[in-house]
Amino acid sequence: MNGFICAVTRLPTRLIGLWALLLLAFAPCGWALTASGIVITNQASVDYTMGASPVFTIPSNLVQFAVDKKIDLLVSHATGLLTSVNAAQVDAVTTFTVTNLGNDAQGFSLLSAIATGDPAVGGGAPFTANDFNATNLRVFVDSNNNGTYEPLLDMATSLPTLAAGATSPIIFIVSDIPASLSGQQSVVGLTATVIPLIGDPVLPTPAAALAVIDTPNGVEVVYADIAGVTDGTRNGQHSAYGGYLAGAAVQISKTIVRVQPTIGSTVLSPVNSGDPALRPGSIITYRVVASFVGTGTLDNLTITDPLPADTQYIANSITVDGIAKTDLADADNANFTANLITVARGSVTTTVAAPAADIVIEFQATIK
Amino acid sequence: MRIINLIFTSIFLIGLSFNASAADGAIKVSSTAQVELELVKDGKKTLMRQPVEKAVPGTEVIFTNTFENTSDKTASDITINNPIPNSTIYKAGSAFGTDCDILFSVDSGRKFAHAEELKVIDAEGNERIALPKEYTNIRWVYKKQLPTGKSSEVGFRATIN
Repeated sequence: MNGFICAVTRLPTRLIGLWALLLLAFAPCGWALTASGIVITNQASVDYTMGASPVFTIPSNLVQFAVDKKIDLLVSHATGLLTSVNAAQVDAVTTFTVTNLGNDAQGFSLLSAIATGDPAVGGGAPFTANDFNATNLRVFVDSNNNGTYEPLLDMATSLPTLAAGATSPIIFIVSDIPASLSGQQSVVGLTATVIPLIGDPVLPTPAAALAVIDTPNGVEVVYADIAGVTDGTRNGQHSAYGGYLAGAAVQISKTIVRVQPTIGSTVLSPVNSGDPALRPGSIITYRVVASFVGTGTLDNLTITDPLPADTQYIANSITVDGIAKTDLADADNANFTANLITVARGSVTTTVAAPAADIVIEFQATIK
Repeated sequence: MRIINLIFTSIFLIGLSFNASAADGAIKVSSTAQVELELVKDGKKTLMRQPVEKAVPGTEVIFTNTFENTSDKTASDITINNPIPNSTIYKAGSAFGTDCDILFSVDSGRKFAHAEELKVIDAEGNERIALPKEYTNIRWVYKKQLPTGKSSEVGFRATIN
């Protein structure tokens, strides 16, 4: 080794200059961290004279140590925004990336979880309120990194290899949104955990790595990651939150509230199929209820209901919220045209905290 | 002809080695690599140095060269040269050495200058002051003589890439 160092120091200066140029030329390509196992060597030399002596040059001892394996990673939410969803939506995605901040290629396992409570701690805005729980959480890697979850393509559930310094393709947390929402937001977390590359030995646990007595020329594992939203420092993990924002939605239900037969007493809801009152000539009162969930504004809301077969609409029987409406398409925003009951309501603004009032439409028809 | 040249060169190199070894025992220079740890004891923070053990990218290493005159004569014209170690970046302003003129190079030791006078040509062809991360070598010119039995030290800090 000594011989090699001496040989290098005696290279013609022109050659050294060329070597330096080559190093500089490659420097921009090599911003990655120094890989583990690289030996860093230092050697000084001293020139001096004594009296009228020539200049003597004495080298110092070689100081060498090997670079250890640094394990560090960062999980980030890809957009920092809540994903807008609707009640009962399936496969709603929120997106993340994992960056390998260590100095060697590593694999990473991926785990999704519902946030516990309102993650005020660690849950930076907007991922702070966990009003409802998304269900059926799954994690997939975006195989073609196009940012769109494609169930038939995006099937990998971990990152077997991520180069030092590299950021992963998009990672999806895929969830289903409940049909009935108890609030506006759902916060979910992604945790990435370092795993060895396929075929590599098992990594020591963080505690075991700390306990290892280091040798200058050996390659030890050093956990250097910062705390994530749900994990601590230097544990080979990092975590971040993402979330869903339920938008406004309208839900429609239709019932028979009353049957008035030609003979006999009126039957009130619930009216069972086969009820003797349901016979030709009976007048049925239908009720259509539009109710609102989530938060937001629904524009151009129009509710339509085709008249059931084998019934005869009773003219001007439409009521909206108890107020009688004409059948004409006029200013009262309700009409009966071509066997279709139509009620236009324009814009409706609703919030989870203060839902817009239900719209109750009733009309009558005679069984033919 | 080339063979003769080679022989001449070899003799010359042997001569140099002989000169160097003849001076062995006159000045000794030893190099160390350490890291600095912050210890908190009784609420007080103290800095402690220890040999480099766990070393990962981002670790700051203190390289120290101690030179000592072990001869019975005074040494003069002392210059310490230290290439910045591979895979490390010099930490700005970290070079130290009492009674030393500290010079830097960005071309592997071909040319040395004070930090504020060290220039490089950038990609656009403009001259600018070299950045500390571009330094390749450090040179300490010891401005005094080193009497018998005396020692001094120089050093610098560098961060592992």
